[in-house]
Amino acid sequence: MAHLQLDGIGRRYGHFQAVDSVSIEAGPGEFLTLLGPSGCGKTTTLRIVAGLVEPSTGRVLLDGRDVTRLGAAQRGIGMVFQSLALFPHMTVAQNVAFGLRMRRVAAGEAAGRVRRMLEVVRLGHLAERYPSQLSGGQQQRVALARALVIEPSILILDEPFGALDRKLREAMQVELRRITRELGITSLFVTHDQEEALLLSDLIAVMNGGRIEQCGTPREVFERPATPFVADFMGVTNILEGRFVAGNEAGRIAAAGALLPAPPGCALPDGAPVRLGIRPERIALRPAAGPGPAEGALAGEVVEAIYHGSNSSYRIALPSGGTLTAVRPNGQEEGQEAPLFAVGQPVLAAWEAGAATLI
Amino acid sequence: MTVAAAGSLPGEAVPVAKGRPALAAALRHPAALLLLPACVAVAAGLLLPILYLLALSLNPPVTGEVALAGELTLRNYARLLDWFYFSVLLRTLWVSAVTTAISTVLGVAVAHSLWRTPPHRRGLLVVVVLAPLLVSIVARTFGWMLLLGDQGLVNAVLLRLGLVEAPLHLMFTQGAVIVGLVHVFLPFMVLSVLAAYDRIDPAIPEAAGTLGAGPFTVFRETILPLLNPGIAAGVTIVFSLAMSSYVTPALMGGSGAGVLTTLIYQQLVVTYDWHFAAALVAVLLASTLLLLGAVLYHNARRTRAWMTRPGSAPR
Ligand SMILES: Nc1ncnc2c1ncn2[C@@H]1O[C@H](COP(=O)(O)OP(=O)(O)OP(=O)(O)O)[C@@H](O)[C@H]1O
Ligand SMILES: [Mg+2]
Repeated sequence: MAHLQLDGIGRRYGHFQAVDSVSIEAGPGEFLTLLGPSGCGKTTTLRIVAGLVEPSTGRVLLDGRDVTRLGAAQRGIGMVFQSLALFPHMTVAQNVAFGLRMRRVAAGEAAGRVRRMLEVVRLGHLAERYPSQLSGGQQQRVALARALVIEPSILILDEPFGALDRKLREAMQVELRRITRELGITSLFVTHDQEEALLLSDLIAVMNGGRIEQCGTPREVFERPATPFVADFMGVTNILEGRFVAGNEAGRIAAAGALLPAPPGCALPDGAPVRLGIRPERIALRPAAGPGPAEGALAGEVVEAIYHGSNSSYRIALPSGGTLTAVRPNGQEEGQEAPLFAVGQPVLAAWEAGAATLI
Repeated sequence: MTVAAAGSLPGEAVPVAKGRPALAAALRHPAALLLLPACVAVAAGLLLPILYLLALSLNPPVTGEVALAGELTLRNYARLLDWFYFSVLLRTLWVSAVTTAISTVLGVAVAHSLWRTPPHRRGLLVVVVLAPLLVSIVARTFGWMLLLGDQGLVNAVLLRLGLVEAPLHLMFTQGAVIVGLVHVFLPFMVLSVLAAYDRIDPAIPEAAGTLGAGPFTVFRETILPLLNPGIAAGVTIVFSLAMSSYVTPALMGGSGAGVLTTLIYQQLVVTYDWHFAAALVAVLLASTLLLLGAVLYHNARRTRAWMTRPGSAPR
């Protein structure tokens, strides 16, 4: 259990700034996730923490101690690599024992710790197998056990579940959560999957182009995205630009040629430019009754309808030029068959005031 | 198709096809016929002459005679039971083994630094490593003569620096032969080992590092074992090439550094005793195959457990 702090970390490759003044912090036992699209610098940041890459600027602090100049072997950090990097010529038990052997732990004690760790990841019965004789999920757990058995101050995981199928991935996520909570270990996790990040993390740092766009609890990042990028990454794919119109109650927002309800609790000056974000699944659709806009709703035309099974997604062209995406559940709802909309059909899109966020 | 028909009865074809999918697949496709010229060439150029020579070694020695005779005898082999020939065999094995060992150490070192080199600079370095192969073996050997001869560069420098009183006798020694052979064969070792390096996940040494291993331990514990297939391939190539090399031992070895090939050459060209030469060929072939076979078998036994292809059934 340790306190991890990155202080203004940056890394250049030639003229390319792969990581740019990243400052994040994870308290003892916290699970911090770096979330971002491919190539945004997640792995580079992780490798800087692990001591595999030297930062061009900034410091890495472990429990307040500056470890920026220490080599990987001296940091006592457990790392699970994107490719797992198991030692193919060693059995599962030998793989897990490697770190203990490097630390000159007595053979008897090491054997006991290896056995206990293999129990934790539920691999006790496969100790004598070689990595090539294991399934993907089992290899995954060996990598985890190998990183954890040295009782590292920090556990670092680089998209460890990327190669697994959906079901196994979910099982491994639950497993990882159980193990890290059980051992109370500080973890730094990397993924580009927002669901995975939300499920696992105490803190999420959303990265884009080498910078941290927002850092907060899953709820903060999900419900109050600070930038359009974070909003988009968190599934708020509809963003309307408009102006705030002060009124008697909560006020309204003028956007896309309509007056829309403003989210509750926003006190802005009249005419202030705003960005309104709405999740696709929060948009309700109904057939347009007649021509012209309706109060508090956006009129448009369905230009794409995709059936996904339990729900359908619709792309709606707005007269103002933009498009909205709406995702509606299919099947029975309150005793009625939910309507399916067809391409070319005029519809009205509306949402509850609380469903939208200002970004 | 015709190959399959000629080799087996129609009824046999099915179980064979079941047991060896690769062979069966090859035979089912007309492309297998493309192998025919190569097979003919190998048979005509390699197997037949060797079989002929082995048969010849069992005929009584008649100077200048190269036709097969009906009479079989072990007299040529009996002649080998002599300390002189035994010492030549030992020297051949020794020179080849030392050449292989030095090539392995240097080859791993060179391949390691090539592996560490960023890809865009690696192409040029590989060409440099291969450069010895671009120069004729005779020219290369004469280069070494200029360097190692009594009036050569090395002696000139040593004399000038006052490190030696009289020129060292470097050329026409066993050491000179080994230097020459290593020079020629190193590229084969480097390429074999480099191929093995390229199959290593670069995260593996990093993982060992995060687990607390220093650079040397990382190499010994995680890289070296994974180089095993490449080193085995390189050892096979270099050892067999060294055992059968002729030009370098002939030009760089003195009278006291004769090896099996130079002895064979003498028997063939100087004494015209083809029958005894054939027996020497048999010894050369057998000792190479036996030694390599033993080394490779031992090696395969050690690595068999983990070197299963991903996806093959666990045992
Ligand atoms: N050694 C290097 N030399 C040059 N550029 C590099 C190097 N390593 C990384 N980069 C660049 O830095 C950027 C960030 O790379 P990084 O591996 O950190 O991305 P990532 O967020 O982990 O992506 P992914 O999700 O695809 O793994 C990329 O654009 C990459 O091309
Ligand atoms: Mg990455």
